Amino acid sequence: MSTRRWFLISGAVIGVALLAALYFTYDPSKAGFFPQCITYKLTGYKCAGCGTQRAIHALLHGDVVGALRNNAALPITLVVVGLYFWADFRREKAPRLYNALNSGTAAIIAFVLIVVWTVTRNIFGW
Amino acid sequence: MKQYWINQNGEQSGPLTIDQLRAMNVSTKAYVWHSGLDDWVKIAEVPELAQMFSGTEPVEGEKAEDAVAGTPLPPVKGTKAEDAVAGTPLPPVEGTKAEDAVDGTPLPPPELPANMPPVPPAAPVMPAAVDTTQPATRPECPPHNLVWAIISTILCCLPAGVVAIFYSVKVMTKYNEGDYAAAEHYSEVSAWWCIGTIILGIILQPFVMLLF
Repeated sequence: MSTRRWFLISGAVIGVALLAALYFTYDPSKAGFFPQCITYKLTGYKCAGCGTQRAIHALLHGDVVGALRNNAALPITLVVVGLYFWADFRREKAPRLYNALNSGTAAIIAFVLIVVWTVTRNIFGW
Repeated sequence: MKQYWINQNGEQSGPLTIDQLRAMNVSTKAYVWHSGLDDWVKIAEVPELAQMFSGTEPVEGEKAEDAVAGTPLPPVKGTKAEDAVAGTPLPPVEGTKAEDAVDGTPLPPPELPANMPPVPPAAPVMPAAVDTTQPATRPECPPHNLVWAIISTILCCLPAGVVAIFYSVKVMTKYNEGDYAAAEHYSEVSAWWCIGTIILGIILQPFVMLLF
């Protein structure tokens, strides 16, 4: 494995750890310095990512129900994004997983899910 | 949709889609041709078709990274070519099949005599002008940026991220269709939409936090 790749991976791990510490310590719904959803503030409609920070805060405290209440799609999104990075990392060893994820079908499903999720959460107030 | 012609035991058929090919009981000894190829090649040497066989290793360099939509069928067991008409060559297929070609589809390749496969008698007809620019081997799929598009959508909370996801999907669908130039183009488009979404989010964020 190349040095550059090691730098990227260790940088990503350190970055994620720092962010996790930040979101564990502070509650985004109370602390004022966290970024806010631009779409929600401007239009009043929720975007697909609304509640992500609160959900991460809840997840880090082991509160799965609270996470789902803030953004029900976040846990599955985390799993899927993690799976994509894992498949990239393991491309040589596990080409089938890589191929399945990088086929057009998986991408279309992801696109449709995000659009449907954005619409339904605004209709039902999720 | 990419179209294939197959020559199996001297019998040529086509044009076929990849799903039709999968449905057929194809042996590993069969030869295929699709637009962009200079010659007939063994079916195992076409990455997206090689997945049909478990025992077949992908050609060097091309680790079957070219994903084809959907899940591959279970591999065909054993090779059927041995028990087929090895000793008695079938008569070569006569005549060109150009009548069968649908409008706009490339002309079928020339016939492959049954008794002398690998080398075809003549180079296949190079079909449409678009196809002549394509290399014979399948290039690497350009980066589709799907993950970055999803991340920028969720973290920047802007509808622009959905556009980035849309173009990421286009990269893969165009690549699967064999339109590599378009895939390359949409790869760049999706990357710029990702970057644009992130920059716009960073610019708008202070205003949103201060003014609303």
